[in-house]
Amino acid sequence: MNVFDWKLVYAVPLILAISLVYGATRDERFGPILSHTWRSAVWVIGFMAVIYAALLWAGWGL
Amino acid sequence: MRRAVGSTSFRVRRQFGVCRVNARSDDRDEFPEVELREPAWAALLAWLIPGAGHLYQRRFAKAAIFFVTIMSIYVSGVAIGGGQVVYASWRPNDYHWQFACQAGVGLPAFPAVIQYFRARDGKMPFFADRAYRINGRGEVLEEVSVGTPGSIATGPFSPPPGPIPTDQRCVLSIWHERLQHRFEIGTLYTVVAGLLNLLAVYDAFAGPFFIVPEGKDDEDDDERKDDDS
Repeated sequence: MNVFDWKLVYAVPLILAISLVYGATRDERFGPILSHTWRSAVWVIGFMAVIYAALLWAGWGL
Repeated sequence: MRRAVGSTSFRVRRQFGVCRVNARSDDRDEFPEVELREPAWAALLAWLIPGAGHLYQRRFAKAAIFFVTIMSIYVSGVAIGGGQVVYASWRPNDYHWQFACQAGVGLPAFPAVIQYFRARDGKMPFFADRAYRINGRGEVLEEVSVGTPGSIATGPFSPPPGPIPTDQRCVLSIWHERLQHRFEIGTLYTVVAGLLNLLAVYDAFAGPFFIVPEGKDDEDDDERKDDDS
C-alpha cells in the first residue's frame, strides 16, 4: 500500500489559496493577514493529516 | 458571537455599511478604519472580477491578494480539467450543480453561459476543438474532425452534447476517460475558486471580520459607559 499518493500535491495550492483568502477576510493589514493565513493553513493541514491517518489506518491490510 | 480558537476564546466583531471599526483614536492602530465607499456596487464588482471591488474601494493590497489567489486557482483548474470542467448543464444524468459554485467567480465563468446557449440553439461552440458522431441515445459512434457533416462539436466551457446515458459510451464518459482524475481535480479547483470569491464579495460589502481578543470588547464597553456618564 502506498502511504503517500502523489495526487496529494494538488491539495497544496488549494490549501494556500483557501488560507490566504480566509486570512484576508479577517483583517485589513498585511501582517495579521499573513498570521491568519499561517494559522488557517496549519489547521487545515493538521485536520487533513488526522483524517488521512485515520483512513490509512482503517484501510491498512485491505 | 463567541468561538474558541486554540486555547484562547475570541469574539468576532462584524461590521456593515461604512466599516468604522473603532472610533477610539488609541485603538485605530489595532483596528484600522476601512472605507467601503458604495458597498453594494463594490460587492457587484467583486463578484464580476475577483479583487475588482476592493480595487474600487482602494484596498489595493487585498485586491491583489484576491485577484491573484482566486484567478490562479480558477485558471489552474480550467487548465487541469482541459477546459471541460466549467460548463452549464441541467439534464438527466448531468446535473452539473458545480457550475452554481463556479459562477461565484463571475465573468471568468461567463463563457460557459455563452457556450450553453450556443449548444442549446444547435450552433457550433466557440473555439471548437473536438467533434463526435453520436446516435440518438447519446452513444458516441466515433470521434471525427471538427466540421465533419453530421457531427457535434465541443469546445472549452461547452457542455457535453447529446443525451447522457449511463450505460453507453457518451461524450461525458469520454472526457472522464481522457482526463481521468484531472476532471475531478479541475472541477474542485474551479468550485473552490468560485466559493472563495464569495468570501471576497462579502469582504467588499461588509468589511473584514476583525477578531477581537476576549475581554477587549467588554473593556471597551465599560470604558465607553464611564465616558458617557
